[in-house]
Amino acid sequence: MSLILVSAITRMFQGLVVSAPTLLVGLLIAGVLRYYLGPADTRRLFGGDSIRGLPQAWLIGMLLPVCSIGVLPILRELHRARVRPGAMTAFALSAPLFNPLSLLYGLTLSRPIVIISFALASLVLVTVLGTIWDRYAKREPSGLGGEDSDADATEPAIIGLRRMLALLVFSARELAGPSGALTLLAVSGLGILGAALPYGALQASFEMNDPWAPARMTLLAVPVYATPMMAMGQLGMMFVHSNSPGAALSMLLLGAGLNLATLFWFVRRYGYRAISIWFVSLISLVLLVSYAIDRPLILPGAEPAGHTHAFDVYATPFGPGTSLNWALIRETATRPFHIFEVAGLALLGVLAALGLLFHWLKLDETRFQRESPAELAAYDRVVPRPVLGLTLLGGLIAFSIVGCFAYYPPAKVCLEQISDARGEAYTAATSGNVEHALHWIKQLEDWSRKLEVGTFLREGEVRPYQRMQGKLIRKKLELLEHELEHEPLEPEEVSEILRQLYAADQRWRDAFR
Amino acid sequence: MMSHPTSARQFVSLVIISFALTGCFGGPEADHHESVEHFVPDHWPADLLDAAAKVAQRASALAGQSTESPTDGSGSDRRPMIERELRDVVGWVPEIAADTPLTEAQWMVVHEASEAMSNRLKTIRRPMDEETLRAIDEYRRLLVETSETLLGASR
Repeated sequence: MSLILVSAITRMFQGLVVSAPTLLVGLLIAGVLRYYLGPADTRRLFGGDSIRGLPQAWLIGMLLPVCSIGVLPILRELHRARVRPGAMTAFALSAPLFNPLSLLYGLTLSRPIVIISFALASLVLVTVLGTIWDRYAKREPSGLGGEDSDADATEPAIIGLRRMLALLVFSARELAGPSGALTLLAVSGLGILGAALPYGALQASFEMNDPWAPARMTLLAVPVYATPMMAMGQLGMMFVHSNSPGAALSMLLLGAGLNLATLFWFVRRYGYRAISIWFVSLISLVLLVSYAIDRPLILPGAEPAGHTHAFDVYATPFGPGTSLNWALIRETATRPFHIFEVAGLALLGVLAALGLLFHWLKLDETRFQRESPAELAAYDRVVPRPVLGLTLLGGLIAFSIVGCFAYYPPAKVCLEQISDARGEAYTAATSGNVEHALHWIKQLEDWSRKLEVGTFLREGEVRPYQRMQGKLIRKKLELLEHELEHEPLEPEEVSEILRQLYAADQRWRDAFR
Repeated sequence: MMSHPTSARQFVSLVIISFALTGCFGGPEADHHESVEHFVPDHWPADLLDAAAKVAQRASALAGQSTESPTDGSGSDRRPMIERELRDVVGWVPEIAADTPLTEAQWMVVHEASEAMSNRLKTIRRPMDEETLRAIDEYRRLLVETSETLLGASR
C-alpha cells in the first residue's frame, strides 16, 4: 500500500468530516438566497453598489457559521444574483475566518486585543482587495455575470411547502453536482500536503523570531483547508508556543479563508489573468499585514517552546517506518471527531445520495414551480420573499448565538466534565496506558478552553487569575503529553509531572468555582 | 459565463507550483518529533526569589554598577540582550507566581506590578534613569516579600 496515497486519502477524509456541518449550512444559505430572498434582495443584502457594500459583506460573513467549503455554494449563488465582485470576494474571504463560536473561542486564546486586531486586519484586507477587484472587474466587463446572470428574469413563484421541497432538491443536487465537486477539490489541498510533507515537518517552521515564518506560512496556507474552529485552535497553540504572530495571522486569513476550490472557482469565473492580479494582491496584502504585526504582537516575556504540534495535521499522519495496516489507517483517519461532525457527515451522505437520485430521475426544482397563489387555502397568507429570507438568515444567526451557549456550557457543567476527564487522564498516565491518557488529555485541554469561554459568555469576563491558571494547566498537560510520547516511557518522569499537575489542577478548578 | 478552456490546465500548474514550493518544509530533525522537547530559556527563573535576583542582576548590569555579566557571551555589546532578558523575566513573573499557593488577591498584586513594570520597560533609557532603577528595586522587593510570605505559609 502506498504511504503517500494513504496519507493523502486520510487527510482528505478528515477534511471532509470536519467540513460537513458548515457545508450543510452553506447549502442551506444558498437555497435561502435563491428561493426565499431572490437575486434583487440578495444584492441589496450585500450592499448593492454602495460604499458600505464591502464592510457589509464582511459583517455578514462574520455572522454566518460557514467555512471556506461551506462558502462555495453561497458564492455560486451570489454570482448568480450578480452581487458585485468586490463584495463577493469580501464575503468569500471573511465568512470562513470567524463565526460566533470561533470568535468567542479566539477571545480566550490570547489578549482579546490580538483577536480583535486580527478581525480588523481581515476587514482592511477584504476592503482593499474588494476595492481593487471591483475596479479591475469594471475594466473587464466580460468577467461579470455568468451562466445564470438572467437570474433577475421573472421566475414562477414557488411558495409554501413546495418551496421547502425545492430547497431540499436544490441542496441535494448542488451537493451531488458542482458544490460536491468543489468540496472534493478543496480537501484535495490537504491530500497534497499530506502526501508531500513528511511526518511532523511543520513542528519548528513558525518560530517567533524566524523572519521567514510569515512567508513560509503564507505559502503553506494556500492549499490548506481549515474550519474556523480548527484555525482558532491552531492559533491558540501558536500563542501557547509563542510562535510568530504574523504566521498566525497568515494561517487565519489564507488557511481558513481560502482553499484550492475557492481559487479554482474564481479562475473559472473570471479567467486566469484577472485572478492572477487578485491573487497577487491578496498574497501581497497578507504578507504586508503579517510582517507589520509580527513584532508588535509578541507578548512581553513570550517563551518560545521550540516546536508545536499545531500543524501536524497538514503533514503525513504516519511516522517514518510505519507499516501500514487497515486498523492503523482506520484509527488515524477517524481521529476523535465531534458528534456534530459525524452527524453532519451522515446527513451529507443522505443528501448526496438523494442528489444522485434526483439527477438520475432528472428531477429538479422546476417541478415545484406550478403552484400559484390562487391555489392557496383561505387561511394562508402570502409573506413577501424578503421577509421570509431575512427571517431565515436572522434565525440562523440567532441559532448560532444560542449554539454558543450550548457549545460553551456554564462553569459548573464544564467542571463536572473536567472531573471525569482528569480522572481518566491521570489514572491512565499513572498506569502507563499512553493512548488512553493522550485521548483524555486532549479532552481536558478542550474543556479548559470551554470553561473559559463559558465563563466569559455568562460573566462578561475571564479574570486574569483564571486565565493564567488555565494557561498553566494547559502547559503542564502538554508537558505530560510529551513525556508520555517519550520512548521508552519513563514512569518516574511521568510521576513527577503528575505531582506538579495535581497542585496546578486544584488551583485551576478552584479559580472557577 | 465566460468560457476558459485553458483555465483548468492553468489551475493545475498553480497547484503543482504550490506543491513544489511546499518542499521547503520539513527537515531531517522534523522527522523525529519524539526527540523534540520544549525549549526552556536559560534565564527562566526557578521561583519568585530567583526572579527577584535575576531582575536585580540585570538592572544592575544596565545601570553600569556591575561589570559581571548576568548571561554568557562576550565581545559585542550585550546591552540589548540584557534588556530583552529583563523584559522576559518580568513578563514571566505572573506565571511563576500563579504556580504557587498564592491566593488570587496576593497574585493580583504581583500581576499588576509586573504589568506596570513591563510597560515601564518598553523603552529603557541608556543609561538607565534613577526613577526606573527605584521602580525596579521596589518591584524586586515585592517579589522577595511575596516569596517570604509563601515560605512563611509553608512552614
